[in-house]
Amino acid sequence: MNSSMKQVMVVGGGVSGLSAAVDLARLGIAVELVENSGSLGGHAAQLSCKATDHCVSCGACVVEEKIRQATGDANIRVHLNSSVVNNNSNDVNRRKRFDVTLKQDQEMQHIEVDAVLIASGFAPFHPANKPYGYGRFENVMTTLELDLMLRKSGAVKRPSDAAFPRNMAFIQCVGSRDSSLGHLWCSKICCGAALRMASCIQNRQPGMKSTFFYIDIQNFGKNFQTDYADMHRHILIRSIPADVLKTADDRLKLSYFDPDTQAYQESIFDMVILSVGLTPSVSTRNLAAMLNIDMYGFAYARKTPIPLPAGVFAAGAALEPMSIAESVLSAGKAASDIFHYMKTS
Amino acid sequence: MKERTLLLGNGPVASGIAKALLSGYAVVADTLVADTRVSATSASAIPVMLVTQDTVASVVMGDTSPLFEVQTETRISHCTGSAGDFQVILSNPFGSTPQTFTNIVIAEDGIQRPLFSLYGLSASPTVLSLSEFRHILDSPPVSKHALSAGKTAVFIVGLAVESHPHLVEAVMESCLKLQTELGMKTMILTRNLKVGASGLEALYRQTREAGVVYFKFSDTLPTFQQDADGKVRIAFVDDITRMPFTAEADITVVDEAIDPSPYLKDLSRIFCIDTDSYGYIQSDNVHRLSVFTNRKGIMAAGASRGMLSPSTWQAEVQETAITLLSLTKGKLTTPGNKAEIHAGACVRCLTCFRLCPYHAITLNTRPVVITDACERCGMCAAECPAKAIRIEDLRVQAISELLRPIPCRDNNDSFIPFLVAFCCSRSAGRAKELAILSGLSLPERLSIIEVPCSGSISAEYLLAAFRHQADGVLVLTCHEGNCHSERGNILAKRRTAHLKLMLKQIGIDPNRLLLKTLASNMAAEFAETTSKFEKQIAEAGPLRIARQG
Ligand SMILES: Cc1cc2nc3c(=O)[nH]c(=O)nc-3n(C[C@H](O)[C@H](O)[C@H](O)COP(=O)(O)OP(=O)(O)OC[C@H]3O[C@@H](n4cnc5c(N)ncnc54)[C@H](O)[C@@H]3O)c2cc1C
Ligand code: SF4
Ligand code: SF4
Ligand code: SF4
Ligand code: SF4
Repeated sequence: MNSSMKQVMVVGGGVSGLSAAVDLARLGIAVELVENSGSLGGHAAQLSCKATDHCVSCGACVVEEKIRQATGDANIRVHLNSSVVNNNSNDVNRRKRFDVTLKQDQEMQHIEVDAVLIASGFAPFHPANKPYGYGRFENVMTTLELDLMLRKSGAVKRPSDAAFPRNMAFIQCVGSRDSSLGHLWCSKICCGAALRMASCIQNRQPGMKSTFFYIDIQNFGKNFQTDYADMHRHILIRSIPADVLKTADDRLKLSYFDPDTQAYQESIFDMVILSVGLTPSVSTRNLAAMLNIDMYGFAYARKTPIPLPAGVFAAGAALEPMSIAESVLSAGKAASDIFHYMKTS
Repeated sequence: MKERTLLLGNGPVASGIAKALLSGYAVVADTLVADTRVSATSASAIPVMLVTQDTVASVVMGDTSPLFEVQTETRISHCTGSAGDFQVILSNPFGSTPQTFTNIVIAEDGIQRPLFSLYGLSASPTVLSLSEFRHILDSPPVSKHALSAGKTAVFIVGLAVESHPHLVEAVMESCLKLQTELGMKTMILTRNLKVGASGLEALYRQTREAGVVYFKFSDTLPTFQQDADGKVRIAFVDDITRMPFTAEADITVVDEAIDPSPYLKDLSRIFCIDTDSYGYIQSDNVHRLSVFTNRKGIMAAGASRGMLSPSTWQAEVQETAITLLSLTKGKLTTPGNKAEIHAGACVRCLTCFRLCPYHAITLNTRPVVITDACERCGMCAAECPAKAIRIEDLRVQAISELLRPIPCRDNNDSFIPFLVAFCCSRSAGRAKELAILSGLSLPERLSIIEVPCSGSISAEYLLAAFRHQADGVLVLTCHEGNCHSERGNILAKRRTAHLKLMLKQIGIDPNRLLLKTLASNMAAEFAETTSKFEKQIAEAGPLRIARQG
């Protein structure tokens, strides 16, 4: 990194922040990469590989490659366990500069940069207030927790008794497409993520049956039509369940309106998985406020993104629900916008 | 050679890329895509030649500049060379001309194909494709086309084949207009409503409030009967109420399939580029994100690389521009030793030429490696029957030097096997690192040899490992479809299977050799696979063979 280089602060070390950092560094721009947590990768680094006998292009491993590229690049300085606590922007010789205060452990540090990229990602929906027993029944989990379990242990077992589940229910759209919550967006990734997850578990733990409760199945991946054929390995029920209760023998009873029989039905499962959606994070909101952006730094239910002040850019799931592939593209666009801004400002 | 980019296409993405290059990679305002006039505005402009099969170029130069050339009615008929120096033959009705380019960008538009026949319908003034209907709606006055208050318009979207958010958006916007501006009744027949794009769920709610009626189907689909009066009679059983239902449409709008340009098939052959199962000119391999192909210096953007929504085209343009810039700055070149062919030993069997997944070997009078394009996958070296190819640090001798047996930590009596794992550095190599970081326990005497791609793991490597006292050997590669070299893992699989047979013949239990596929994020599986293998080999006992050489 040399001192004459233009500098950008990338806030968030998830796949979009990493990807933008790598792109910017290649373009000769120095990057201060700020990450809240103790490690890089964001949510993608919690996901598991969903390959069956072949890769299903879920994109999760892309982040490992990006971490490798970013940590090996001399133009990128990584600040872990760090958060932005203050920002003063000023114009020096008609050039806008951001004087950012970073807090790492108890230490404060000032860093001056020419531009800031918001890549602080999303918050997974917290389903405690949904009638699905999350937080009360051990065997009700979110997709993110299931991913982490598979990633950490290589197998899916019931938290209550460590037994292999014989059947699982996936409830889709939890926290998305929900007007009672004011969440007027589809999270885009959860249909694909859940279906790939179910096929992957079935492949590793033969005999495991999955049932999907859904509204619509969204496209995912480049080869949606082929993946769609694979979907019929699972039972698909177009209905969103009313509630989940625990049975005396520690299983889960799910009641739903069955469109086939036109009546309420009950089904028993070993585990219930909630396909939680992407929501705007408080962290992104706070960051946006510090950068003088109106309350919301994202456009989850909007068609067009919110205009940002000069020198401030955004990428990835901080903007709206996005897959990993889309986050990489969005990071490329942001890097290009920043490159352009640096040339012209 | 002076930089010049060959740009294939004639639509918004192609024009956007032309602009970005002519402005020295920089001018990429959001309006760029809609406006197809280009101009060379920067001193650092990159010359572009735009080549299209169409008779008229939709991309035109705002002011004349020698930096921007357009060739219409022209196809690519041949290509040799590599990044930095592609030699391309352009063919048009007047003949063929050779040209040279530093880079190539494929940005051909896709095509939308109406699906009338799938519903037993045929095009008529009242049965229209979505594109035709959008065109009518956008060109006033619309009343001429039976679009008047009280009439019913039925939209079919995603019934016979799955739809796309981009088409669903067009349908919802049309319905909204018909309902609110023209006082018509609208109905949407669909299977899975594709709302996975910016603002679509909100738009869906808006259309519902405006009175648009939705019918969603799962197993049984509606039937359509097109009458002489132009009306279409629709009969179905409603999925929600299970009641039979009929409707009569004054206007029927039929959805379309989005297909890749058929030209891509030829381009994939001429440029030796892998396609995906649809025919888009970028395999469905995450290593190609976002605009890469298997060939250095050839990019695919927009509707040439996948079924993408036009809302991403601006990003495609910008991503392509910065990727080209990084490429020309030399930032995308793989460092390290590259393949070298020993001309004297080569028997010109052309195995290497056919095999190289990056097409980094060209033919002069004999095969020659293009050093810059070589990714060090080692496939050519491993497969050359004359052993004429080497990559300095991947020679069997170099690998053998890394094969030092690890001594047992303590001198207890139990047997702890010495294991060698050959790991693809992009997948298993990273998984190992993660496993160590997460504190997972690995076999005590495990020696890990990372190679750029499992395609380089030759029988010689594996035999060398056994010769260097390995009791068991692992080949850990990426999953099929996730190989940066596309087929390196398949070669590794084939060779391992082959060597197993050989081991059996020389009296070594083939189970002492194991191949497993792992992704870079499979730390737990890395630990599990190696530990299980350790246990298995420990039970089998030390390998006793006459170790000569
Ligand atoms: C259950 C589940 C399954 C999924 N499966 C898939 C899938 O199969 N395929 C797919 O393509 N996508 C999938 N996704 C989506 C994927 O996770 C996102 O596309 C991706 O994580 C977006 O990356 P990002 O960098 O924008 O955000 P994030 O991953 O959220 O990363 C943001 C980073 O910023 C940090 N941060 C936040 N605020 C601050 C701050 N103020 N200061 C400093 N750092 C900050 C965070 O700690 C984090 O590291 C899935 C998501 C979920 C929830
Ligand atoms: S893209 Fe997904 S399925 Fe394919 S190897 Fe990577 S993590 Fe596994
Ligand atoms: S992707 Fe599927 S599960 Fe997720 S919000 Fe959209 S429709 Fe619901
Ligand atoms: S594979 Fe070997 S022998 Fe055959 S052409 Fe290539 S270098 Fe020559
Ligand atoms: S090492 Fe791989 S990339 Fe290089 S020339 Fe040989 S086959 Fe091609």
